[in-house]
Amino acid sequence: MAQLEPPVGSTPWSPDFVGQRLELLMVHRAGGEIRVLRPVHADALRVGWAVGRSADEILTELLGRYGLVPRVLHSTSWRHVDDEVVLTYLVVVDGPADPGPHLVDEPVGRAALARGDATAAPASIGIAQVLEHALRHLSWLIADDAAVGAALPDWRPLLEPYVPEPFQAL
Amino acid sequence: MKEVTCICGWTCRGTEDEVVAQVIDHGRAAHGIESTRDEILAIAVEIPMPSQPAGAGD
Ligand SMILES: [Zn+2]
Repeated sequence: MAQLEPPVGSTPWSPDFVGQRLELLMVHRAGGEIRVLRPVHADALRVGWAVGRSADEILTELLGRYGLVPRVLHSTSWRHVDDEVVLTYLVVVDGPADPGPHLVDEPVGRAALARGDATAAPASIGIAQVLEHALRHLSWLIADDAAVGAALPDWRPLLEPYVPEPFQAL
Repeated sequence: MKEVTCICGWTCRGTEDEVVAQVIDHGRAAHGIESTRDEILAIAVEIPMPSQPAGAGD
């Protein structure tokens, strides 16, 4: 009989300080289109960040649960969600032949970015806006970071419509 | 309190009983699997109850 799969996160948290959570947005290229792989029952994957482990290590391991290997993995923004700080990473993977039963493969639409004022974050930020900024940041990285540029030569035309932006708070 | 985040992205938090009930329902509805209380508690992450502010309840 099929068994319950192990959970994707195993890090306890405390209510006594601001916790941090890692958020992973997974994108791939299909022809001339950018597509996103999201978990079937959530808008993005979010896991705890255990002491003594790097975010890269945790997220690469998490990708392995879905049979995916990162081509580029980079932090792109942070924001407050409820009582936690969420640190968002964008990962570029090779498109899976089959996303499997736990992921949905969808085209990426464009979204207007949420903007706060000079001293406050925007009141509400949707995952489409987080992904929009992440792709703008990838557009910045592909021109600015030689390692990213070399890893994603096929992504340059795809990212041309995205205004380059640095890592930032959303 | 406990928390479970499934590989499909679904997540739940609550008391031990609440999490067990939610995971059993989710396993059946979303994945067509039966899970036992022991299996669920083995994968659940412990999360403390929110702490009371000093002086609360006096
Ligand atoms: Zn599930």
